[in-house]
Amino acid sequence: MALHTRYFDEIEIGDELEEEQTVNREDVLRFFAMSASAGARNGDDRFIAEEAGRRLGAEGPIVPGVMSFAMLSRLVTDWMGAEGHVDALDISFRRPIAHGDPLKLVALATDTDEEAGSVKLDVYMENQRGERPLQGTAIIRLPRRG
Amino acid sequence: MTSETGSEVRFEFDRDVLGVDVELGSITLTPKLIADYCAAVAETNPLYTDEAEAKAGPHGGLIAPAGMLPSLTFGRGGLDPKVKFGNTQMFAGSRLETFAPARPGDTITAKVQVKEVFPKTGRSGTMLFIVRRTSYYNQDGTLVAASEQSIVHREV
Repeated sequence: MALHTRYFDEIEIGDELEEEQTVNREDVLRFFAMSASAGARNGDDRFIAEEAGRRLGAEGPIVPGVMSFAMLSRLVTDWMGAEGHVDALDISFRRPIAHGDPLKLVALATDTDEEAGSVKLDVYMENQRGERPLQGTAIIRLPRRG
Repeated sequence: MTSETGSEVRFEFDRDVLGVDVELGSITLTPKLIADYCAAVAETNPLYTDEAEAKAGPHGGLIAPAGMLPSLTFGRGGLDPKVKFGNTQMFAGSRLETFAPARPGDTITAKVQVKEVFPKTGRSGTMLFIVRRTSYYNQDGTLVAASEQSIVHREV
């Protein structure tokens, strides 16, 4: 990936970025090792153990919400380019994501605010069953040309 | 403790914790910590991963990914509202606001408060939400980001 700039003047409603990602146990362990090294507390075994994930209605251990949120924030910063600014990213967690679920991450421009130079995005993750375990919105500010 | 009754929902919590900031301590954003975060979430944006390219970019050098800070304080909730409701809890929502870039070498101090406690009744019954707001300051006292995390308590 190279640095790119996205300008407010060029935004069209419906501009979309889609990425694909599957999170496995190794990814979760790597994420936990990183966050624990900074002092975060990573909760119970629902993120690691088969049985604990099933108790929540998933097919096995689940992806931590803080990690899936981080993945969506990556999608948004990819969408906005190097000079964009994240005013807000607001996400609801609607159902668990099991390890190994193939995920589609989507950011879609739905509105613009000419005065603020900001763009509203719908942001979500979709699994192989067409469900959206994470869904929300982002408000991004972009530079203008000239 | 306060007991609340509203449309047949009863729950108890310690109202005195609302809005009280608790400092969680400081974290230095070492280049290794940023690189470990990027590896863990498949982040390849050169703004965060490529020193030479980032230097030519708008920030004049590497910065930390916008979504990184909440990952470092997860699970550290500060004061306990001592909610008595339900038998399980789950992550219900997360909000991030960014104000200024955080850079490698910055020392970030986090403060967390219990912002709200409220019930909501939906199709699956009544749930109790606890919203915690964490504010992240750099070594100059500049607010760089804030996150809000909602945890839902319910009976399953």
